[in-house]
Amino acid sequence: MAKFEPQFATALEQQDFNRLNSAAFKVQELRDYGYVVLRVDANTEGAAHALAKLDISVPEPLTMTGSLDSHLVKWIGPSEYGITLPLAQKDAFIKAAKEALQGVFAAVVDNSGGYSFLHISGTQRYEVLSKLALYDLRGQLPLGKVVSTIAAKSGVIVYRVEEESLRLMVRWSFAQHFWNALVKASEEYR
Amino acid sequence: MFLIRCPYCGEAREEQEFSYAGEAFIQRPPLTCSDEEWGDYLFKRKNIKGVTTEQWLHSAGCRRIFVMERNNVTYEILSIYTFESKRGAA
Repeated sequence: MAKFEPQFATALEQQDFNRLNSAAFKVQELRDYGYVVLRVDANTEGAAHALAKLDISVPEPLTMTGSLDSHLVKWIGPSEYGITLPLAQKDAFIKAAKEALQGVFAAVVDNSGGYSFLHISGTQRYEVLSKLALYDLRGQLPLGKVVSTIAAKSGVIVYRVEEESLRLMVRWSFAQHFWNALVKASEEYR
Repeated sequence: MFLIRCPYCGEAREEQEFSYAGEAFIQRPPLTCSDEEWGDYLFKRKNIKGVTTEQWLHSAGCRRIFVMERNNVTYEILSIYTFESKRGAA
């Protein structure tokens, strides 16, 4: 049997990002970030101590804490948090988290390969995305807010850490379809 | 199409983000029950026309199940609450 060789490629690695690279609408794939899912109820015994040790402050619903430089903790559900962090720090973080949460009813899962992480900017970004998304991203997504919703029939997590851009995570298996939807929706602005 | 206010997210979201998850508060019978009771538990539903108590799942959002009282004739949503809050109220 042939030896299994893992391929380190993102879902959109083959795409020509120059197609979506105008002042009106620009999409970049951020490949240097990992994604870790942390499932824990902050009220569980021992959880508060472990989270403090990891320098995680638990975000309120639909908000985030931390930053993309160290770790950005996003509220996904009442006991589920999505943590985006630089890829180089990911393994060390998971190790530390597993150690800190030992004995606590919690789970730390590396889901870095599960999502495509996009940076969406440009003057017409909301016009393009409003063709696809159910959520009112222009009106209801201020800085520091995160929503898990549907865009172009795909489950996405959208949030804002900067004034002039959006970060969007789409599932690996939907990334190709979502890319095609973005290309089609932005046709008139290119 | 209606807007549903998710009690966990605290926001009104479009119906497309949710999935219907069946009738709420169905009691599971004890393991000593008869085949008929077990069959009823698995398959028999009230199928009410009017005000129903349903479970809904915020599948594209926080992925939590909550309870919705809804009139399935007029589509009016009467109340939405979590299982935890119901337990607290009882």
